Order: sequence, then structure tokens, then C-alpha cells
Amino acid sequence: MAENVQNPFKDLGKRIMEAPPNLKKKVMQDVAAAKLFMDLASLYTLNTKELIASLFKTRKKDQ
Amino acid sequence: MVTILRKLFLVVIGDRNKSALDKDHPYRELSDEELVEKIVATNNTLLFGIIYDRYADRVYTKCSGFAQSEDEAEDLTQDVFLTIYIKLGGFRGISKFSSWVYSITYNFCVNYVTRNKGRKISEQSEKFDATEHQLVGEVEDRSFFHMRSDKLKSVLEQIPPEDKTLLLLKYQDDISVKELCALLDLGESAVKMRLKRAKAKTLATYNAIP
Repeated sequence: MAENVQNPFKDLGKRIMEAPPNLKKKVMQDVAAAKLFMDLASLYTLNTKELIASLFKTRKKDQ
Repeated sequence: MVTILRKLFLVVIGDRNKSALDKDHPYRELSDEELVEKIVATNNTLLFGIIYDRYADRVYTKCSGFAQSEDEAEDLTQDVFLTIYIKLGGFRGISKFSSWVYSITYNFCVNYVTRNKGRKISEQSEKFDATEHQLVGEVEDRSFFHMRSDKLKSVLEQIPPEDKTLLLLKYQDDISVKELCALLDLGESAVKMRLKRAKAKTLATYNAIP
């Protein structure tokens, strides 16, 4: 017998609310600030993972 | 130093450049996963705007399910997107990007809701403790799906937020058990047991409502 039961969870998720239009500006400002802080932090910290990886990298200069 | 100053300048003027990505930018055609790769590689925050456009409404809807007011939902959404941006480098592509976004959203909302200490204590001493030690009977999806959605909405507000999260991820966002294991960092049997318990609690609460 074919199952024809409607999933009530889907009904709940049907009504999608629209995010406030000014929210994008706030989010993008937050993201820009986060990026700036992360860039600044990378200036004063040591990236051990990349450092070790670069030690094992062999690069041929004449190619 | 010069590059930092240039980046600072770009951050300041970032808003004005936004229109360049607005309508028919080629990056708009990219899949979520490809976009994430580009964002991680180039660190371009403007591309993150495309991700925001794709998910803003759905994340906002999910946040409002946990929030008491519209302002609270807005603040939650804002913080969720910031968390997504910060964690973007950690996305490994094991699950779909949408599943990953939803799991971050739910985790953030659950942490926010349970942050209130008083609520935490009252929840731990709730009547659910008694049922925790009982054998959980199998709840079939068929009987589970016979619930009325309006009543289910109020049931979801009564059960613990962790259970609500699990049920919504599984039955609303159609995330498979395998993906749930990766997202929640749990074994398959643990996920299945939690789902089983969450379903049993939901059904018990549903039946208790007149």
C-alpha cells in the first residue's frame, strides 16, 4: 500500500519568513570586521601548519 | 603594512562596491560548495553576500522558531551568519553545505536558548527524567506523521531544544542519518537512539495535549 501521509514537519517549514532588508548590511559589516581582525591576528601569530608544510616543500628554482 | 591599509580601505569602501555583485555576476551561478571554496581561497567578503542572499530567509525562519521576538530572531540570524563566516574554512564537504548551515543555525539557537541558567536547571529537573530510564518503544514514522502541524508546533516548544533540533534536521530538512553523524560528530547508533528518544518524547507530549 502506498504511503500517502503528509509529513507535518514539512508543513511547519512551508512558511518561510523574509529576513529584514537592513539585516544584510549589519551582517556584511560584521563579516568585514571579522575579516579585518583575522587578518590583523595573522600578522602577529605564527601559522605552524603552513610553516611546517613549507619546510617539506621542495621548489625547483630554474623551472 | 601597505596591504593592511589597502584592506582597511577596501573594508571602508566595501559597501559601495556591493552593487557590482548584485544582479548577473558570474559567481551567482556557482554552487554553494564552489562559492565556499572561492571565499576561503580569496577571502572575498563580497562573495559571502551571495551565500547570505541564498540562506538569509531560511536561517531567519529557523531562528524565529527559537526566538521570542522578531528582534531576537534578527540578532540570532546576524550572529549565525558571523559564525558561518568564521567557520567557513572548517567546511570539509562531508555533508551538503545547506545541512552544514542548518546544523550551525540550530546549534547556535540551542546554545542561546539553554544559556539561561534558571531554565537549564528547571529543564533538568523536569518530568522527562522519569521517562529517560524507561525502555523507549519504537515510534513508527507513520504514526508520527499523523500529528497535526499546529499541535506539533506547540509540542516542539515544550520538548528540550536539542530534541527539537534533531527532529527538524531529520524530518524538515531531510538530512540523512549518515549526514547527521558527520554534523553532530556522533556514531550512527547514538544518532538513531537520540532520534528514537526524541520521537518518543514528542509523541508522549503530543498525546498529553488535549
